[in-house]
Amino acid sequence: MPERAGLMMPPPADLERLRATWETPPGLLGWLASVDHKVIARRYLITTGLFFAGGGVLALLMRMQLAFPETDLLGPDLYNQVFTVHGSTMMFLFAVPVMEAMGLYLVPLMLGTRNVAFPRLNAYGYYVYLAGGLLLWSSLFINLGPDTGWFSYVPLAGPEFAPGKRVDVWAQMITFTEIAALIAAVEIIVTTFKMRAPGLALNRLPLFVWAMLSTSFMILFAMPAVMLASGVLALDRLVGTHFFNPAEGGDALLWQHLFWFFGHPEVYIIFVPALGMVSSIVAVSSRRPVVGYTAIVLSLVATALLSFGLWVHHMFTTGLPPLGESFFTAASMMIAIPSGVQIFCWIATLWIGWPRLTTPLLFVLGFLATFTIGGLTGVMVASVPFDLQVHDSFFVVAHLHYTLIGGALFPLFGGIYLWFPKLTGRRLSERLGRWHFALFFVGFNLTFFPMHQLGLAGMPRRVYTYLAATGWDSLNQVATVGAMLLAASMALFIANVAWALRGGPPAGDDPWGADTLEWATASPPPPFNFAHIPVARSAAPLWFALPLGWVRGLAEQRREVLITTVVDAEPDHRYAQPGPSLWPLALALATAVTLIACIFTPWGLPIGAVLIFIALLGWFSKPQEDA
Amino acid sequence: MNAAQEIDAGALDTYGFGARGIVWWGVMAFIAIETVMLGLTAAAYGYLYLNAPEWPPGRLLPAWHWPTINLALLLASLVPMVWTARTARRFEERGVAIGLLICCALGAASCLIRPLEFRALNTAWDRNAYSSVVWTLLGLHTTHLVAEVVETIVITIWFLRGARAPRTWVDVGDNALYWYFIVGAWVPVYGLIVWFPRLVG
Repeated sequence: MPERAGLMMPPPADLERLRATWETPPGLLGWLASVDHKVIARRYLITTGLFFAGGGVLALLMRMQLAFPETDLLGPDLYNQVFTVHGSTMMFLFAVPVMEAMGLYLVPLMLGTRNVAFPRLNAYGYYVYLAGGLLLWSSLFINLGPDTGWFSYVPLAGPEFAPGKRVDVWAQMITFTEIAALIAAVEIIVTTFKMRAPGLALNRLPLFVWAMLSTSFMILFAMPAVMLASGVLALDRLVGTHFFNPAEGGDALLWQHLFWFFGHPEVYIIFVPALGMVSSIVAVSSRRPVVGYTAIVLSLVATALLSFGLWVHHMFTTGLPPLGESFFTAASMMIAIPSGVQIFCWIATLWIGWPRLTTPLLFVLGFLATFTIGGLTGVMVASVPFDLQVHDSFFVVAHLHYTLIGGALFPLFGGIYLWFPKLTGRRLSERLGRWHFALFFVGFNLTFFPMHQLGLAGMPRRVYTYLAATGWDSLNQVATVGAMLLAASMALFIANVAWALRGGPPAGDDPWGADTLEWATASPPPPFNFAHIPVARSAAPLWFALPLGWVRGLAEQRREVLITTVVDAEPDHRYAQPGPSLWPLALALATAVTLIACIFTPWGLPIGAVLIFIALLGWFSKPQEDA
Repeated sequence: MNAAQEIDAGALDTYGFGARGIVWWGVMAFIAIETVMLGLTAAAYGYLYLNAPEWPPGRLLPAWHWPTINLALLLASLVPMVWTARTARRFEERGVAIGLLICCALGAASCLIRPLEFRALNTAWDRNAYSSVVWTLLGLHTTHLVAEVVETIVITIWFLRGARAPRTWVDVGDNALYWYFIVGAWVPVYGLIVWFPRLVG
């Protein structure tokens, strides 16, 4: 424990006992049985990183294909699979889980507790996510890759126009990843509500935690929509229901409503955690609390609420009633307000603070520039007449990459530079970091800015090639060069991580002089996170109201955590958590067998139900003891 | 600078009933997810209804007897379940054991009636969009019903085998919470499946 945090050093014997209680057991089986939120979040981070790299390779393949007119590097069929798997990977296997992984790692540390609320469920969530990702990617290699786009519109994705199993793979991948996303959301909500350090009342929550909490509620209300949609799509395809079949009273637009009721909040599910990271980076870099705490919290919550009123703006070209379209135009423009409020708060913080231009802050500045462009094109496409012109063109491709890469990836990289020392105990090189940022910023704009013009010139998205006479080749070549620069910047980032892990400078507990509780423990944190649960009396507990208090009296020989009240975080009771177990893995395997078997035979359901029941019995076979 | 504050947690309970405990919050989150799931399925039902010239197609109305009997059964099960949950808070072994056994019996009966309710829909799932959505509504609710009844049976078996740690008593209450949701959700789903077509006919 650092001196400045004022935590008392407990006797060494206690630390040994705490470690023995909370440690992940040795060996492969122990590793598979781990329920430590840090271990699981790290797995998520590495796995999402690998999928991100895979999705990036697919993007490069598309850029190679489009660099010249009438290329036959990828045929039309393979191209369809490549853009579908690229989009699905980036949305479902990278963007959402990587944000949740940051939350699963950081939220318990920021709250001053020892694990997430349901440790075994957390382990199960990761394994289910992994199974879904492996399903999608292995299908690509056996020519079973989904090929109907990441939003898989019917009737194209229905039984009539997409025979075979490709779309079923997509639909089940959705089920896997959404189960995992919902579990992570529940973990974050319950941990935040009930497991905060005493004194950390709701009005003192770190802004990053507020962002993760808002995101988790969005997940809770949005993800069921896509599970239902993909579920009934699978039913239409596998057992002959007629949800989307107009000949029997079904309706193709029902798919779009259900999908975008999830799909629009999805964008904010990716973006809002990034806003939380920006707040952390801005506070730490300008060495003062972010201006307008209440305004930012209200903006986060407003964004979460408004995000559910936007879905129809993806459907302006489907001929909906004009009044409805006007409503959704208004809502789409309104959501720019809370985003704007936050941007002004951050600018004010930097203005009156003492900013240090470190790599995390560079990425935040990059975010402010690119996301503003993405936001502006968003206001443009929110207008129905404009949207009718650019729908399904490269303008939309440019817009969505500006919002997602600009709005989420820039802050994420900033966040990785900020928290890497906490995760690993090593610092990344600032010099390589600056180069990484510069290449990334230039490469990103070079790749995606020309796509605005290509879209306005009429280039459609998702078509594998174009004719020379269109004159689209030079801008496409600029984009391809930009994509290579992006790849180079990623290589630099990987080199930076490898260099730091092999022998980067030790980080110490708190290399940035930061404000929140995760910096009050060692880097990387011990299995029990904190030797003593801290008592916090400020929103920036390491800056104000020092020294921190501490909690004593928690048992050390079992995994006891402190449960506190929802609003004021008053101590309520002690609670012993379950330890490592292989049953989450077993249940995940049973789930995977069930979902994959269902693609091929309806018998998958009853067989799977039995497997799942057995795994659940194993999981709960030993009622947990209290004392 | 304030003096460091020390809080002694040693005297605190090792369990908390209801909203004090984390499992209660986990169950609430799960209820929220499933409410959205059922709500959106109901919305899909409404969407398909608005597009249909006749509802249900061919006026093949679902029979009302079995679904209504199950409604009565589920509503009746609330009495022993509420009672069991309250008794658990007082750590009364006999009361909880009896209450759980009654709930298991009512729950099992409700599950056994379900196949008859599917038949009462008077249509196969693959006939048209209407039949697909009513089968899905009933199927979703049935999945939760069966899962909850199985869970109640497992808890009952533990309890009868002598698991008496304070947390077992808390589990009885948290399990009841999910039971209330199953019963509460059945009221609108039942109304939508059985009475909505009659109201609009």
